[in-house]
Amino acid sequence: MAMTLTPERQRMLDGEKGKTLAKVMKTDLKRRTPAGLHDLTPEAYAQKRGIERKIEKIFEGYGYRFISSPTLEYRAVFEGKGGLPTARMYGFPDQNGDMLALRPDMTPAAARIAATHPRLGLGEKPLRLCYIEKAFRNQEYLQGKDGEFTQAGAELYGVCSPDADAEMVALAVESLKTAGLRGFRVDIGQVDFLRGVLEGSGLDDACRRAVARLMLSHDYVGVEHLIEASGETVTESARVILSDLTRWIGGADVLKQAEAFASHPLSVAALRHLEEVYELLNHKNLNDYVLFDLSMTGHFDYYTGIVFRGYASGAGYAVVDGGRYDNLLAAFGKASPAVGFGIRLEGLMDALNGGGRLC
Amino acid sequence: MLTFALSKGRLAEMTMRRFAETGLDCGEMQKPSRKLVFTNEAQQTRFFLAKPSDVPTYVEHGAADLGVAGKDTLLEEQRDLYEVYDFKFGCCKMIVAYAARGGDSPLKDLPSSLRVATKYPDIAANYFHERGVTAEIIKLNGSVELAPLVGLADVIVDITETGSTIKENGLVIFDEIMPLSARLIVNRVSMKLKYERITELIQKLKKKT
Repeated sequence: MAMTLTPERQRMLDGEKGKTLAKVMKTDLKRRTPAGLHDLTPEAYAQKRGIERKIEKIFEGYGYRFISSPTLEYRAVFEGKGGLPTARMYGFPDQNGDMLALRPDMTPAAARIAATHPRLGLGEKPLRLCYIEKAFRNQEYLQGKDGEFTQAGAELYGVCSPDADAEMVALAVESLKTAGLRGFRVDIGQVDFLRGVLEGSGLDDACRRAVARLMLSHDYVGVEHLIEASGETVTESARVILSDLTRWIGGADVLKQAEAFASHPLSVAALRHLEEVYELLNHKNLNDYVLFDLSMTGHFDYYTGIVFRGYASGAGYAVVDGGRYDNLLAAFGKASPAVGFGIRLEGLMDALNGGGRLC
Repeated sequence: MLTFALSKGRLAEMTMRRFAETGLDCGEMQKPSRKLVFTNEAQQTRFFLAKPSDVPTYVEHGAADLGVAGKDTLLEEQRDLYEVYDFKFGCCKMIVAYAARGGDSPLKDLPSSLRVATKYPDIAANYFHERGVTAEIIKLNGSVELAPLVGLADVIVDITETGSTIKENGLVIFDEIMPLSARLIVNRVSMKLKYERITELIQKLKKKT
């Protein structure tokens, strides 16, 4: 017997379909996490906690003390610190209309703690603080980037010396080693090297700013074109250094090669500084893990000396990010030199697990 | 192993010829085949073809160590990667154009607001912002030169090789924003962990120029 559908019956069925569809879509959302945010299964959690415990031990062994800051803070703590645009922060106003932000980076929060808690004794003696905390970033949608990640970091305040810088690099290397990572490299640069090259380059202010901006986005072709276009106004040494920036990535020999071209006192001092740090790491038998990249700049207005990044195959981005930032603490009312780094635990885990990559 | 992502189409052919000059052989890839990834065990390289606008994404994530992509794509995608060599082929220009209908150009004495059709919203927005023009950007996916002809936009920002398509459609070039060409891009991690092979390749390419 053939069933005929009356218009009413058809409408009813359509309505049901609509309801079911709506239910499915709602259920879907409830059963998912937002893009870039992840759950940890017991296995993954156990792995992460295991790594955290190992890193905690190393940090404490080096004399660092753990701190914690609120996940939610005034946005002003983070704004304009280290070049992270405000648009990348999650935020909303509090009951008084002041803007709050989910912590996008622990370094400014730790600096605020160091500068505003008098009992910590900043300025009297070296102060060593460390943390393992979550950080949050409003990443581009569907680009496979984490919106929440864990920073295991250490900061050393009150000392500005090659020893302090070497201590930081050593601590980062030891932490990765202890976590079980193999085949990684920590890449060291010094922002004063290129700062000096630019100052002595003969380029005018606008051009120097343009070069700095291009270098920051690693647009080395853009730098080359700009140098070509500037013609005679560029000094020969600046031309050699800037028109072939990838040449300054490599082992300790790049420091020697760069010496032949560096003429500005800032650049010369930067190379000497790096040699001293290298010597200190040599003593600790960590030189095998170290590479140099003189083209590394970081944000010129944030980093003031050594900069370093840790790279491991399996993680598509740096697993360690660190450097000297002697101007940050003044923003919190108490000037002090500072150097530090953060390990991204999720990146470290990716690298340990071999990553999901072709290579 | 060094993995390369190439932009499907004419750019890939030119790239492979250029690589061949430096001794990099992507031979197998030139034959018609359904394979997606081509491996050369002897020289420890691997090649694959991707949609041009996806090449920066593969390289940024490290699925490919290196890639070859047009500068227009790189500007629009704004990915975090190294741009290390200018192939100086695949040359074209990013231009601003309007429909010539007789009378004044809509860009004469730059008005305070304009409707702009483009495939490159960021580049277009920056261009007009720098000149103090409020631009309403309308993102299109192709045949951008059509927009001013049918009244969707006042002007277009688009790329052109010779300018002939622009002219044939009765459009007039008002300004050239920048010259564009194919670039060698490198993943941030690969640049450090595989710097020996990668800098060697860059030096070889530079020597051939």
